[in-house]
Amino acid sequence: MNIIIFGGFLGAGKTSLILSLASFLIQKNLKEVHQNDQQEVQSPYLQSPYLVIIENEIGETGIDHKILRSGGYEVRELFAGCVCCTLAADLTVMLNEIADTLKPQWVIIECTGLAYPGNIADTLNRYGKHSDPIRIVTVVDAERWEELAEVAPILVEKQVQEADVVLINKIDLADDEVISLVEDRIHSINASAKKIRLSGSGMIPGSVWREITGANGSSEEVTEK
Amino acid sequence: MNQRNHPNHIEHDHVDLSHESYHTDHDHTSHHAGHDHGALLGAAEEIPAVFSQTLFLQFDKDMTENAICALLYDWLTSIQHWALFHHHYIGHIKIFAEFEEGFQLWLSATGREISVKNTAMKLPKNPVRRGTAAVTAIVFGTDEASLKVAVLNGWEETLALQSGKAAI
Ligand SMILES: Nc1nc2c(ncn2[C@@H]2O[C@H](COP(=O)(O)OP(=O)(O)OP(=O)(O)O)[C@@H](O)[C@H]2O)c(=O)[nH]1
Ligand SMILES: [Mg+2]
Repeated sequence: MNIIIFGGFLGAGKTSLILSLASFLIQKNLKEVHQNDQQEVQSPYLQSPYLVIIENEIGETGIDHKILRSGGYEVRELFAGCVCCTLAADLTVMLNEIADTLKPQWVIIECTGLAYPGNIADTLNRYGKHSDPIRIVTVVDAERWEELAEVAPILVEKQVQEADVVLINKIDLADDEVISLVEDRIHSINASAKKIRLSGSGMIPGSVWREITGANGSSEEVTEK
Repeated sequence: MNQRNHPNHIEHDHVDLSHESYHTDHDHTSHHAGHDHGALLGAAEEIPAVFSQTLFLQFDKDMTENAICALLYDWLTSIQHWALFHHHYIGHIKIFAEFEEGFQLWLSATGREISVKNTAMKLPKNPVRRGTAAVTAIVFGTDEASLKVAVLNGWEETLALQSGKAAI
């Protein structure tokens, strides 16, 4: 079971990018199933889901799970708290149950914008039943980076520090000079993380998701939002 | 997916981004839905106020998708204006509204342009009379009670500006 944690500040574009990644993974799975010709495919949602998304929101009323469900994806939700602290135990129980019952190939966890994704990975590595390494993807809002470095400096720096991959999002809203400054700053916080510039409001090249998931495939494909 | 950027663009340049402007003197544990990050964050202004509720929308006249879209857009604009006017910092304000015939709208704002998306890509064939709106507003530099008043008053005022009447 592959696990990807999506972190990043409020409104950075986590849900938008998860929609794109989810579409990529489902298309990839469909292609593989067709290629292997092992079973007749009626819909992307095979008996046991290939992908499960766990949505965590601070508010008591969730919104993102509805958006993802309206895209047709299998979603579990944890509301009114944060999986990096108050809901850490609930997340572990939920993930272990998913591993036991649904056994998906992929689990994507969307944290709240205030979460420290490294805390979540630590908890899951300690108490989770999965064996594969967890990848942390942090989404950064290029347009708001400078502001956020003032408003929530500890939070945004730590979110970047803990990432394996940093997606520098909303590049359509920032000019090249600003994007380069953001990239330099991110590099100085976390030199080893892979940094990728993109725009969640456009088409994301499949190569981005292949790089993150380690999947094979042609480089031309793009994924829908 | 459809995306529409309303011409009524909100400028951000009158927001004071100095640290002082986010200082709050409210209790850090009671107003953010159990998110206990005070010690970790180490800065009071990093803990936002949260409003999160599902509202039942009942219109007393037939509404087209465009009228609903404009209404929700203006509502979100009013919340955003309130936050910017008081020098609060917007984390994220989002609305997910669902109506008859599977018509859904997702609106979102982080202090600048408001984005509107028709998530299910469906338009109602008949006029709409009712729906629900899940609203989450996460704003720094204010408290939960003030945020709640701003969101709910914003809705009432937006309705009052419409020619028709509707109620939550
Ligand atoms: N212009 C532009 N808008 C984007 C981009 N990515 C996301 N958005 C918009 O930014 C807003 C916030 O995006 P979300 O995907 O909801 O962000 P999030 O990080 O999931 O937000 P929370 O879960 O509330 O923390 C939405 O209106 C998106 O349509 C982008 O690359 N460019
Ligand atoms: Mg989200």
